[in-house]
Amino acid sequence: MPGVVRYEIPPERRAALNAAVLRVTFDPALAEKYDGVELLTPGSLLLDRIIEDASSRGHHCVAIVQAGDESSEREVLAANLSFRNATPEVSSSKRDLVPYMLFTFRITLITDEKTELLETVVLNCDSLREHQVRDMFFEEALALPEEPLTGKRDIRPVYVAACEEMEKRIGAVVADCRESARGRLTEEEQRIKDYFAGLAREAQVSKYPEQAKAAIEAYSAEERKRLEEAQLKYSLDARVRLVGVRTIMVPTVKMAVLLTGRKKGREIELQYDEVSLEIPPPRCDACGTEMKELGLCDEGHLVCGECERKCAVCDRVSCQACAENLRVSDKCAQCGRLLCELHAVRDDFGLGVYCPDHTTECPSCGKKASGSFVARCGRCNQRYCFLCVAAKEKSCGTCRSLTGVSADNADVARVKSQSAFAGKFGKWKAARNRKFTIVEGRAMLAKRTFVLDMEGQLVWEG
Amino acid sequence: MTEAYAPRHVPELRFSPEDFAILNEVQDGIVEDSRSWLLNLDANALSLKSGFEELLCLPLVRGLRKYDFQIKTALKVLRELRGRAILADEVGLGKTIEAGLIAKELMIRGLVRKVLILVPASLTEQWRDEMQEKFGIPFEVTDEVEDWARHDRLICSLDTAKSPRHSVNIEGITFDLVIVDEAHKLKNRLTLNWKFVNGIRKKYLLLLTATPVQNDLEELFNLVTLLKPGQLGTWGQFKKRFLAAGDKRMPKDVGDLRGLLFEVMIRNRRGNVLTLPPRRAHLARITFSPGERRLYDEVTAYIRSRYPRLDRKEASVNRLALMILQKEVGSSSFAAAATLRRLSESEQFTFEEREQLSRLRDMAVSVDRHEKGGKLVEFLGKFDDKVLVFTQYLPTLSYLDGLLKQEGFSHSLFHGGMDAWTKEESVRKFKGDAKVFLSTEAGGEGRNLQFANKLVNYDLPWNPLRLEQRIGRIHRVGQERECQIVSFWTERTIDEYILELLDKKIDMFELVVGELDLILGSVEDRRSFEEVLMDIWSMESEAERRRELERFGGELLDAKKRYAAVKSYQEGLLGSSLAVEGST
Ligand SMILES: [Zn+2]
Ligand SMILES: [Zn+2]
Ligand SMILES: [Zn+2]
Ligand SMILES: [Zn+2]
Ligand SMILES: [Zn+2]
Ligand SMILES: [Zn+2]
Repeated sequence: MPGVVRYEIPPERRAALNAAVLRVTFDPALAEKYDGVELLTPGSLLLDRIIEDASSRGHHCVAIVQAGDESSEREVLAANLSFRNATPEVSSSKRDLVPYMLFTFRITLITDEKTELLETVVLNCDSLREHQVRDMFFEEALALPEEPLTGKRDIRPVYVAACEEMEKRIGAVVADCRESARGRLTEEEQRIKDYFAGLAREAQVSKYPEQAKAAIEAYSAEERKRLEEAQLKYSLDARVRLVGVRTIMVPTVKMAVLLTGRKKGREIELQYDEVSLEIPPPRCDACGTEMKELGLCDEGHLVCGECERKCAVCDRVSCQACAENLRVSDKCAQCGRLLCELHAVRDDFGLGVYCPDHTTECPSCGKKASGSFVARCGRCNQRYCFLCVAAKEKSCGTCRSLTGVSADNADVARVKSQSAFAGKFGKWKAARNRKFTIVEGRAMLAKRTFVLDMEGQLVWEG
Repeated sequence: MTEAYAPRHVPELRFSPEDFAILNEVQDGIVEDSRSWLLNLDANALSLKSGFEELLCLPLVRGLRKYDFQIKTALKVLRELRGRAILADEVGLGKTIEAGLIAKELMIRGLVRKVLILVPASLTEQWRDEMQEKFGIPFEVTDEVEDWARHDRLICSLDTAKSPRHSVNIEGITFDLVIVDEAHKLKNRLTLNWKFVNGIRKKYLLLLTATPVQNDLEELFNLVTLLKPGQLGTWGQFKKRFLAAGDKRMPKDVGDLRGLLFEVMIRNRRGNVLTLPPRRAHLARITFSPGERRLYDEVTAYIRSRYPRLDRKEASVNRLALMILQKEVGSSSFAAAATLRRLSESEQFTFEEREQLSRLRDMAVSVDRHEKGGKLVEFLGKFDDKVLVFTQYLPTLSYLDGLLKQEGFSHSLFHGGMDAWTKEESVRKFKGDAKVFLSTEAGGEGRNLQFANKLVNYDLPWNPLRLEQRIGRIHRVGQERECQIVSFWTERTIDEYILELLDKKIDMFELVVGELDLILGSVEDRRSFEEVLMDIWSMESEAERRRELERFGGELLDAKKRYAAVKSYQEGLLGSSLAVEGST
């Protein structure tokens, strides 16, 4: 008969299936046509029995995975990871067999309907890290390990880690299920409550007080029952069952990699299985996320791009894991660049922190000024703190304190030697502050201001 | 390892304690082959069941022709009505099948374990057989109060269940699914019936009735409120919204009411979902041969002299025996002869009576011409088609068996004494090359014989439901040709009375299968139809018999009119608006 398969059951399974030979089909029409042909379809008794039998065993098997093509550690490293602020060098490596465990869970979610799914989690038993589920882990023909798996390890932590991972993955499905049922429940509960509230109101209006009281009591008892029914129907029953486990021995390269950075170096342990040649990305020392691009801070922490901080002035690198006083943790209030402690300038007027580029040390009073607290002198054109530039005259304290000097004064001589305009002036005044010497020349109808720095160089005239 | 894993992210998750058995195997290094492991995974993947996108049970429901509208109905109940619905298809569309599909689906998906089916007492066995044969769901019919704790799937008559002895046991149970057949018996919320069903704790509920509303809207309100309290508000609110003063029959706003009913009720109509080919009823008049005539008259005279004098209660054995005798003598002299011999040897009768019975037996044995047999042979000779021949009595069956053999017809036999395998074989033979299917009543149930389109009632059963069942064997969904129903009736016998009542008064042969029950259900007589018939027939005077026949006929006529009124009321109120397809 085409479409009907004769299936001889191995002796040890005969009791479970209650038969020695089965004739089975997947086609309902054939099952109906021929007597004694069993139909295999979801929900059929035979399938249920087969499923029950199949899931009563096959709980655990083991396998060993063969290494793929040879690759050097350096190549694998370069293919998987990149580095900031550091150069990597493989300092040592060794090959090993590392046990992985593949857990399959069956999740059944029941409200007034049912949702079922299988979830598979693969974990590295050493690191307890989740590993990508690869098709090859399900291959029947994988080789068996040469020697039995000895060296008893406690599998409880592995199981717990697998459960946790599985929970994270199905969280959204469970929430969906719960919420959609809760929506239906709320609607139903509301309808029931409204109904019984309506009955109670009607009883109060239409009956004698004694009768009304009795009726209302009866209603509330019935209401409780109806609400219970509804809750029973819609409440979420979420079950998880472990279906099976496969222990897979995976040839693994473990290597030490020395990272050399600007200051402190760092040695890290990396490993990869020789099948996938994938290095599980290390985690950031500061925030714990996995990263494919690794940075190294000056203190030797391994950090992700998010957690890394670099001073805009001196290139010093720190991270969230560094001691607090070593962190590059300030930002210039004006340009927003990151600043290390050395290059974060706190202004003397309480505005905040600024980078050196956006800070002015007032040549007159010596205070540090930034932002809107910096003013330019209308006469010598230099930047001062705004207190030192008198508002009316728009000139700095130095300019206001200019006093007469003779024409053969040393500063005047410096001016004359550097400026082509200096010759026509007869009267001279001068004053100095912390940074500049201001020299002013006057004639009948002209006036000109010259600024010399501490070295006597002419830096501005006008 | 014994300590359970406590969920950390999804608090509702319950981890199976059986996990630890598996983990211990792993911990102990117990290893199986990868093939078993893969098989385990595959088995689990194959048995995942989610949502209600399709009915998983369909391939499992064997030997049952399923209709698109039934499947759509089941899906709508599961998906949209969330397992609580009034299934109010017109008669003959298979509400039982819809309910069975829903129950099976919920069970396969593991949503339902405890099921209770409440039905009229006369239908308990039929429901059990149907659930077993069509859906492969074993049910127990409740017998004693202990059954409630013993079984997960029970069928019980509403009357039994609501009795204090049983109801006290039901109170503590939460049923996953309750199905109520003939749910129009719950139309009054002040009755014990309604209160009892309302009191049952249940998740899913199916109410089956072909007449969700018979007299007024309060009935409909009560039914819906039982299913989904608040759907139509309180009775006070409902009255205010839908009833015009003084009219409880038609709502103020039919559209609004239909909208609300749409969320709780499905009512498919025959015209929308299937059309049966017409059927023709022929009455074949038989005139007894002199020997048969003499036997019939003498047996009747004897029964008339005895039957009315027997006490209804005390001598019920004899009353029953005489009733059967009266039926048999109308079937064939062979059937009568067998019973006459048995009675003539019975201690229940006096010596004189036994003498008389014995004489009647001799008369029966000596009948030499059998008119009906001749007529049957003549009839069968006219057609090439397959024909079902029904008789109620085994001796008649065996006589016909011999007769057909002798006349060279190929036929297969079917009766209640056969085991299941022989019955199957017999149906197969009829499906194959046999021309005639010769059957007693037992041939009625469950089997699909609609590949045939001709049926002979060799004798007329006194129970009209029997007659309807016979017709239902061929005139049912799946029949593609016009059906011919031939009923033999013999002049000057009780057959005339039967036809007077069934043919003339309620147009029995024109009714859709299923309607008869709805008509007879409203006849108020504590006696069964056949008891009434026997009481009339055994009256001494002809005039008295006539009068009584007229009276009873009038009652049937009234019942038929009542049914027609309900039907048109319902039609006006619900129309096509609640059908799964073809609704506007
Ligand atoms: Zn980070
Ligand atoms: Zn710096
Ligand atoms: Zn650091
Ligand atoms: Zn700046
Ligand atoms: Zn200043
Ligand atoms: Zn100045």
